[in-house]
Amino acid sequence: MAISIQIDHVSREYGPVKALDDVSIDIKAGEFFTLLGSSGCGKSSLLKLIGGFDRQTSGRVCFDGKDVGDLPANQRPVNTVFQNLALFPHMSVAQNVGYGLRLKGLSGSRLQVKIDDALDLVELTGFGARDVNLLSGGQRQRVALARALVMEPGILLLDEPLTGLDERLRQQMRDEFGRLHKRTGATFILVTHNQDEALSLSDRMAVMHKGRIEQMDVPARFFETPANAFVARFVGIDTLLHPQAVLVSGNHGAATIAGQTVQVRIAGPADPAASVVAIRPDRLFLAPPNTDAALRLCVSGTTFRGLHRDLRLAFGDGQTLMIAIDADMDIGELAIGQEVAIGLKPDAAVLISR
Amino acid sequence: MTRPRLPISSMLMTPPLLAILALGLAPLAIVVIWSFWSWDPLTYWIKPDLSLAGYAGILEAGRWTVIVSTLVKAFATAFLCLLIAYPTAYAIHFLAGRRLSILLLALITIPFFTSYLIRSFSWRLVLGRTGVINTLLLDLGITQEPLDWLLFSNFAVVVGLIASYLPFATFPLLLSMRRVDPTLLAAAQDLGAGFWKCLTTVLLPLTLSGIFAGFLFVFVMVVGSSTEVQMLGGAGASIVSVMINDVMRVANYPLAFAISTIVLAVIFGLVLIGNRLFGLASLFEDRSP
Amino acid sequence: MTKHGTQVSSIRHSNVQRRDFLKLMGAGGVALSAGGLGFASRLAAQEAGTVAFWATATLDIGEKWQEFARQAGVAPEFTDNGNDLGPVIARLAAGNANDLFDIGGFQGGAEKELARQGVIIPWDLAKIPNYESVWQWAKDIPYLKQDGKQYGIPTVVNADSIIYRPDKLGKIDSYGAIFDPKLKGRVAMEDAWINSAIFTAMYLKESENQPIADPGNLSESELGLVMEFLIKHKTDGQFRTFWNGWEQGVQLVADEEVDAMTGWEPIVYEGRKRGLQVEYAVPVEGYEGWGNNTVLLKGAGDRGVADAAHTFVDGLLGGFYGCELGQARGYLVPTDNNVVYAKAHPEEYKPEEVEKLANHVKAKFAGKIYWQNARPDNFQLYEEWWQKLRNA
Repeated sequence: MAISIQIDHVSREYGPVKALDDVSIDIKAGEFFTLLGSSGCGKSSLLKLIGGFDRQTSGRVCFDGKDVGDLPANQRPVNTVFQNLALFPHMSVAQNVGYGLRLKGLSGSRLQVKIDDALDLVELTGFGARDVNLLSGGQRQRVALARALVMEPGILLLDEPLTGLDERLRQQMRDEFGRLHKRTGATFILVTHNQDEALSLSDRMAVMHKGRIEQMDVPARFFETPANAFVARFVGIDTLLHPQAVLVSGNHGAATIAGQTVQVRIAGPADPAASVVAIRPDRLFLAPPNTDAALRLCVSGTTFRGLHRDLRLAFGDGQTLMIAIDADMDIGELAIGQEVAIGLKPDAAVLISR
Repeated sequence: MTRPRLPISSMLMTPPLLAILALGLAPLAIVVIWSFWSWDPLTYWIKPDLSLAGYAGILEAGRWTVIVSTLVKAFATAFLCLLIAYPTAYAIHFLAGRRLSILLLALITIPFFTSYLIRSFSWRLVLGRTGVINTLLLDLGITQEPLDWLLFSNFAVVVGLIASYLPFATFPLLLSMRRVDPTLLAAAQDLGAGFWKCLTTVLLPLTLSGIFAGFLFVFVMVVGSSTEVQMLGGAGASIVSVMINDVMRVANYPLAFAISTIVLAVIFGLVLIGNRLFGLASLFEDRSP
Repeated sequence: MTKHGTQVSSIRHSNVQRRDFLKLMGAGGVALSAGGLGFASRLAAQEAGTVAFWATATLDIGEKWQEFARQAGVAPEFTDNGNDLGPVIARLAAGNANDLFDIGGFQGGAEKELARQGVIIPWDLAKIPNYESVWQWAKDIPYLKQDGKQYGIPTVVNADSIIYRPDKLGKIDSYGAIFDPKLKGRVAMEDAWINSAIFTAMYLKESENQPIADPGNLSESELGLVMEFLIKHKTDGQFRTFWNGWEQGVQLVADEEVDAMTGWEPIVYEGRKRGLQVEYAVPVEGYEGWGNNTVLLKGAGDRGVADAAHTFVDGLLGGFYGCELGQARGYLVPTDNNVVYAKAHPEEYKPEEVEKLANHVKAKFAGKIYWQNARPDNFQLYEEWWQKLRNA
């Protein structure tokens, strides 16, 4: 049975250091929720609190509304796939997978059936007798998954489980997580610093920074309306321009950047000193030279990226924006300093807080 | 990885192998061989007449009981040392912070810097009739008379032996615990194991080599000890080393060698069994992925 | 003779190292130490004016040997022999000790065996003028002469009895106190048959009229009688412990573990220094006298250094050595030359102290004495019985 989680004003302090600073999250039962952030942001600390390996300094952690603060790790309906997998090196694959069930008192054929089912689930049928130390990275990953899933946990915690795998395996295992999430229906919580993983798997995700949640939303919203400059950068919106002035009318407005006007959606303070204009690179295009409402910018560099080219363009005050163009697009030679017109598709620019 | 072995490597291996043979095995082989020779009253030395007199001597004057009681003491001390050292090593490695663990390590190491003689001697001041413990018991009114059995008894000997050789159990255990990834314990907990299950199903199996190494170190040290027995034992208390010393004093070399041979055989047997059962060698393997 | 000994000729360890090895290595140490019996790398002093002196460590006066050499004209190279007569005899008989050393300084008793083996040769008393000054009772030590020839020169002598607490026991004048059931668990003896067997034999002979001829050299049946007696008392719990070494002996008395024990007189002085009322008994059964005697090794004669050896021993009896040893260790060289020397050099040694020590020891030897025997005829039986006692 999937379990919902309520993180209620939780802080975790190590002396003067706040690993978690007044964090509140509601995770729905059966949701695939991702905690995204760079190392040291507090995402692993939060995972430890949910797993029961640590205790918060203040606030409450509840499962299905019930406070689990006094419940030790071994009694929580939570299982974890650890970052380094933590397979028991002195046990076979089957012994690893069956470990938790044996503690529950299962034995004999009932145990065997469950182990076999779990190995089937992760496509390791027949691997039971193998030595875990002699498996490949992907196989070890699956054993760790099977060991956690065989417990039929209400909550599955995945602590950076794909680190250390090569790109092909990452893709493969990522798909596996999605499939298993649907199969088991459990609440999955993934901790990662990799936004691709987060975006492709999550129902919802939270970007964390310095112990706080910067933004919590469905993945698409992070691109539509990043909460602030940090989140924007974290999800890959690198063009963040400082406006000289902002004119607001309802949800929309106009920002002046280096003397040029950009139409923006307003999602931050109107004060130009407290906000930036985030521009989605996928909503810019090279416009014919005399298009109205286009920005006129000078080329300051190009970078060949294989399938596309990055074109860096500068405003009069030196701020730059990046636009990706098809690698084989016929635009002739672009000289450094040459002026080009850049068109903005609807909703390309949004004013967010700094 | 298997690579074809180059002849150069075996050439390089020869000098150290010879050194090990000369320094380690040769003297032991001599002990074994000489134990079958006979004592020559004419020269006070031994002559190569094959004889089992040395071994027959072990059966006389209760000498074999000394060997047995030495082995019992060694087993008991090694076992008790492990009982104390395991939680100690656990505390140092898993519970204590950096500073505290350094302090605890220092406390364990300090005895290494005093001689066995002084260490044993100080136990006489603790366990004696007017020693710290008896004084305390009398002052608290728990006893009316000093407890005589605290000192000059097997109890005192085992206390002294434990105090002397505890570090020999602690360090291999620490070494083996350092090799255990702490997330394995978290994983066991995560899968429903309480403290004791964690200990018995994960930590103990993964530190078996350290347990056996600690046991063996203490065992061998006790078998070779004499100071603790001489300082803390009762009237005429004996242990193999004391007995060998007695025998050497009257130049009965075949007997001394025979006793040594028996003890060596027991120790070698233990090492072989231990290696088979507990994988002693794995303590020194590199298991990092 | 040396064919067994040279097999491990590359290893050398002195007996002190051997004992350390036994402690450190237990069984394994025996192998190495056995090698040490056979060979030493140092060659005996060959040049005139130097002799190799192989003696009990307590006879060493360290840097004072320089002054000794200046006065006597012979300089010794001192080597500790470990004080265990078994290995010492083995090194002389089967090993190469005679290639290395010129003079031995051994606890008395082994002279008979050494002479029988031909590893020591007699002294020529005419070449030791100072021998005249040796006290008569020291000259009468039974082990010095074999077949009418002088094999041993007494260098250090003293006599041992019982250390006891008069405040607890009153006056004690018999070894019977050691075996008195009233003192059960409050007495101790030394963990060495060489002393404890003779004390017990003296008691049985003198106070219980047992048929014992020579307490220092027990026959098989006498030994059985003595040891059975000890075993009975040990199993009755009579002894608190058997002590090993000086510090342990002192501690037993100082910390009231025992009220009486057989042992060395310096323990009494140490006890008094710590404020205890401790006395040294004058037992009716007599003292156990002991002497460390110098013997002339056969090798010295072969190498032609016998004359230098005589000069050296004459020097030991000359006064300076006795003063130095008395001051450093409280040991007595049995000659009046000590007092003469101290009176001539009052700035270095106090004549009254030297005289006091001499008179004190002389007084002990005025009474009954049985001589410690480091190598009784049945020495291996002694060891066997000692094991039985240990394991009883």
